[in-house]
Amino acid sequence: MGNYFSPEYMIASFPVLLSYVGVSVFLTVISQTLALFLGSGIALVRVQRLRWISSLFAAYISFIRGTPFLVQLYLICFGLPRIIKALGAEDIRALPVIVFVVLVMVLHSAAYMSEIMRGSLESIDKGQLEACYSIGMTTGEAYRRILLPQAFRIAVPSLGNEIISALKSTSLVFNVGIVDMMSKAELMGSYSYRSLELYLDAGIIYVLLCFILHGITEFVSGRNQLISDNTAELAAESAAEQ
Amino acid sequence: MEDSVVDIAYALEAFRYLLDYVPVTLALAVGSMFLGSLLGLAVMFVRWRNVPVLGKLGTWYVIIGRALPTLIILYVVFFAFPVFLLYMNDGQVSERFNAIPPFLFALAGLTLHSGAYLAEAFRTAVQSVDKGQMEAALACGMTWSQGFRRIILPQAAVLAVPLMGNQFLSLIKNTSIAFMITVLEMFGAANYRSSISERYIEIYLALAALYWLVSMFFETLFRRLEIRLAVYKGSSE
Repeated sequence: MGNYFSPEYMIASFPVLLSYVGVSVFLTVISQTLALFLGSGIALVRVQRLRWISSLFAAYISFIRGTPFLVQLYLICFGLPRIIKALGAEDIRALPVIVFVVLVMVLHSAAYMSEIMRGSLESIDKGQLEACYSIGMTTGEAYRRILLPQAFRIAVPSLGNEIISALKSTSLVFNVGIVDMMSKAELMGSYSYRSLELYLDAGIIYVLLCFILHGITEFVSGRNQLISDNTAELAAESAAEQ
Repeated sequence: MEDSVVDIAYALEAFRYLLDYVPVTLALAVGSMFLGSLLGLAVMFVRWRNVPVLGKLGTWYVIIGRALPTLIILYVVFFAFPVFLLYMNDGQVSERFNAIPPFLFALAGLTLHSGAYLAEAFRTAVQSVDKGQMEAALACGMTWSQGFRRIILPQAAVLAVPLMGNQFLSLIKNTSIAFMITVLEMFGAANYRSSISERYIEIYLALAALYWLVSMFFETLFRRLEIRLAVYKGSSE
């Protein structure tokens, strides 16, 4: 390949790009944690079928699922500051752009996660909720103690997929001025004219991150299995004692 | 900007302007869906039949193709091609590179991306048809390809349609990435327009509305198709 492709350059720049991996990981971890809470909340509201607020959330989910992540990113990161400014807050530029990026990622993933959680909540036998009521639990207690833990267990593989897709979407946030692997690769490429090597490096890092996340998902779903099997055993034991 | 935050009239004008670029977006989506389906089918076959080298290669392609962000696939295709041309021409800078429209690079990148997902979708669809059916077909004296075409394919197709529909919907949204390699599709046009007028809110609201409408149109289309195909589902059970 001679001069056209330089494996040495690729190896040399790998650690440089790797040092920026924290940005993508940070964005994914913080946005997905918040999105999980928001998504579950939305799912609970939609399962209850509260009329107005449910259809409001349905429209929000349809919007998020019908438009590209990139459009949502641009709309919030370029549009929202102007709206806030017009509402009277002058110092909006003091707010770092990463706040808006986290906001977009949370809003984006929460919509997908709420659909996943709604699906798994609805897959749980209705009789369980009725059983909770019959022993005097409130709706809140029933969801917290009985229904949500089961729903999470069903949802783990799908939630894992959603988190992986959120991680992959962090490759787009350099467009609004976040300094991460992709913007570093772009910068280095404009000096060295070796963009291919740099983006291959970034690709390898993303693939490794995906494998790690996939491994975590497998581990969590396995452990969930363990926990619920244990509780089943414990329940069987206590039943046997009585 | 002075009088109001969101100028509705300007947003409508932007909407009309962006409407002209819908065909480019759809051409990208339909083109890479078609090519990706062919690629996905080929990969599904070599994995299913355990073709010596290709089968393993196919498995790695599916794993890595699904783990890579689409943008990186696009960039690698875009930047690898000139390097490849240099290599082929023994260091001579080729004018041919400039002759190739970026649209084709976007098409190639999105095809590689969707091929990996579709290969997996097809595998799911084929695996959900009982293995015994192929064995029965072979036992009747059909060849493997006859068995596949006459027995497996019609049943697997019914299961593959919703999976392909989802892939197409996500592909429409993924085409927005093509603007980064200078393809002038819906997003690229909005980006260009907003860099001149600086009316980000109006233009991106109009763009979002347009994407939303296109997505809803195809979602409805696929749902109807699924309802029609549901008739054939009974036979596989």
